[in-house]
Amino acid sequence: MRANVICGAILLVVAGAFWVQRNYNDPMVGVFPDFVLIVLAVSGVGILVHGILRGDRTRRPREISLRMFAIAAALVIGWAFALGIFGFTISGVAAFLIMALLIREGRPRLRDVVQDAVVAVVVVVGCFLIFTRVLLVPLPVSTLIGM
Amino acid sequence: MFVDITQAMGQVVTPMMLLLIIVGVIAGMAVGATPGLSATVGLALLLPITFAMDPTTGLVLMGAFYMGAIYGGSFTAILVNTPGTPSSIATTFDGYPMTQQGRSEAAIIASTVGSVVGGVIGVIGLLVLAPLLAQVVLAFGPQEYFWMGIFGLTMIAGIAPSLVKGLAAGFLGLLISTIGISPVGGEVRFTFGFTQMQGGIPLIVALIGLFTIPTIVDMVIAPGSRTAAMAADAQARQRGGELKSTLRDLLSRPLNPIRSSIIGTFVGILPGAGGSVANLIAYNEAKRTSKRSKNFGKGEIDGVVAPEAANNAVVGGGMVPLLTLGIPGAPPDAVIYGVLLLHGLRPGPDLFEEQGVLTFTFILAVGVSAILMAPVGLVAGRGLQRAVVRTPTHYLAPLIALLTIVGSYAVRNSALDVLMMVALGLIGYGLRNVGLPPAAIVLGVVLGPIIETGLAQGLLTATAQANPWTSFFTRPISLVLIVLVILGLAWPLITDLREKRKAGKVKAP
Repeated sequence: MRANVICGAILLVVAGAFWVQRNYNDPMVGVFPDFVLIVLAVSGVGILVHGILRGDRTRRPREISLRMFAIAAALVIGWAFALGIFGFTISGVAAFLIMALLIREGRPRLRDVVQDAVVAVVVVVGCFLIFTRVLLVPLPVSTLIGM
Repeated sequence: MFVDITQAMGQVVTPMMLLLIIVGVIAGMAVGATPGLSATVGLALLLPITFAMDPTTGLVLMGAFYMGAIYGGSFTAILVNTPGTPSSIATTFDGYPMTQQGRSEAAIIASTVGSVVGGVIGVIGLLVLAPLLAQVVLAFGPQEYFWMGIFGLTMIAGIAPSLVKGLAAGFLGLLISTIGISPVGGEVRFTFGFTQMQGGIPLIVALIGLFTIPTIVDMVIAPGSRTAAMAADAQARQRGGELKSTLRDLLSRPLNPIRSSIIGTFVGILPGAGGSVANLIAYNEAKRTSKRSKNFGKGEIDGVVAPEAANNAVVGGGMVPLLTLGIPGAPPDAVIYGVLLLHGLRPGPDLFEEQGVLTFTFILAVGVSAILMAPVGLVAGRGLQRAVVRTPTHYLAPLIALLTIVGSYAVRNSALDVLMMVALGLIGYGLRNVGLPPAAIVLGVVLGPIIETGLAQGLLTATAQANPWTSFFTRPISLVLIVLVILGLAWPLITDLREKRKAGKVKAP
């Protein structure tokens, strides 16, 4: 599908989804968001119509490996969820290691896995100590190991 | 006044004070370079440490830290496409493309030069023009803030490949900024039934997500994409002379950093606007007036100098309303206001009379810290650049992800913010692929509160008029800003038309 058609459709869906959520007690509160939603809807229609009418001449969406994107997305989402459950260090070490092995070109050897695991532990624990003990920035802790 | 300045200079230019300034600048750079830990957060962390210090030492340390933090935000903006602070958003437009081309060292040098010039000019503006600039602050009302926000939004015309899609992305950002509690009226909007969304989406979370997650996903999907840049950087280091050649190139166009610094100083004096707006305006002006405007967004070195000069000039500019009127010009100034009160200084018209030596010591220390950023930045900044460029992608990507998680969690100590950051980032990645630039979305998130608050407050303050909307079109400063808005939108079209005419004339024979 053409990029403009997808873009226009997304803008219309977003504008519609937010429009049905409108529930203002004071009209002043809705002046700005209503204006923004109308502009989004109009630009969405414009981009969509342009995409349909232009047909073959509109740009295709950038080609990406959907499989790799899905893996990358699953990894970062999983990391974000694990943070609240396992704390900064456990989730950090696991996700750091998985991401490092995923990015390595070619099939990782056992030596690579050990090396990446060591780096993951050093970096994640180091970050945890610097931010919590030196900069006094609280980070989520695991109930299992207390850090 | 001259006696006070002389005495203050005597206090600042001592080995201990200079050492303290260097420590402050380095610490500020480290915090500013960490995504999510902005200058405001860093100053707030430093505040308790200054309790035990005498007023002079505490203020000098805070001032140096502030200047260093704003400068430090450029490192990650250039090296990993993640603005360390909102003041460095525009630095990513050309800084990161320079890194992708293997020219990260030149970019770091450019940001150092810009920051030094901006920092010095901002402080000169503070010293020389403080009383006059304070009057300008008082003349700005909600209507002017509204139009300034709209002017900021027109910057999109300069950064997005397609004006319509760029504006659509900007309006998406405006919409995101309306989630949560409204700034006027206090009503909860667009939470979709989730009480956790009542706090809205913090700017830092949106900034980190929309800039960093796409970069991390790119590194995971295409790990070899950095190879060419690393090789180009290695070749440049072998050739040597990068510092000399870059400095010579930058100093051949002195108008850019000077103009950008003046923009930063003036925008910095407007409370609430701050560096996050100044760097965008300066970038757009640099692009508009440059003979190499077509290169902006593709690794143009002047596109790094301009925003960095502006955001460091905001440090001095932001202190004009702080010291003369007791109104913080930028969020970090609010923390410095607390430090001033803590040490018995009452910002206001009498500050320079009652505590002249201490006040001038503070101001001069900020100026000296700007100058000392040059040797510190060229050593530490280039050291960081070399470390990042040499770091293999399979370690760099998870390290960036780790820091972004820390940064987004630290905003409200909330794991939900981390989830929001990831979600926004993945959505931004998808939107980028259909032509909606994440940078324009972030612009909307930054400017949304300024525009909406200006609109609502402007309408409320003009309720006595028959038609409150006319107050937005009848004030002198508003009219000037409206002209700037029209120019900002029309300029890319005018430039396009001129080029088409030129191309037509060249073809005709």
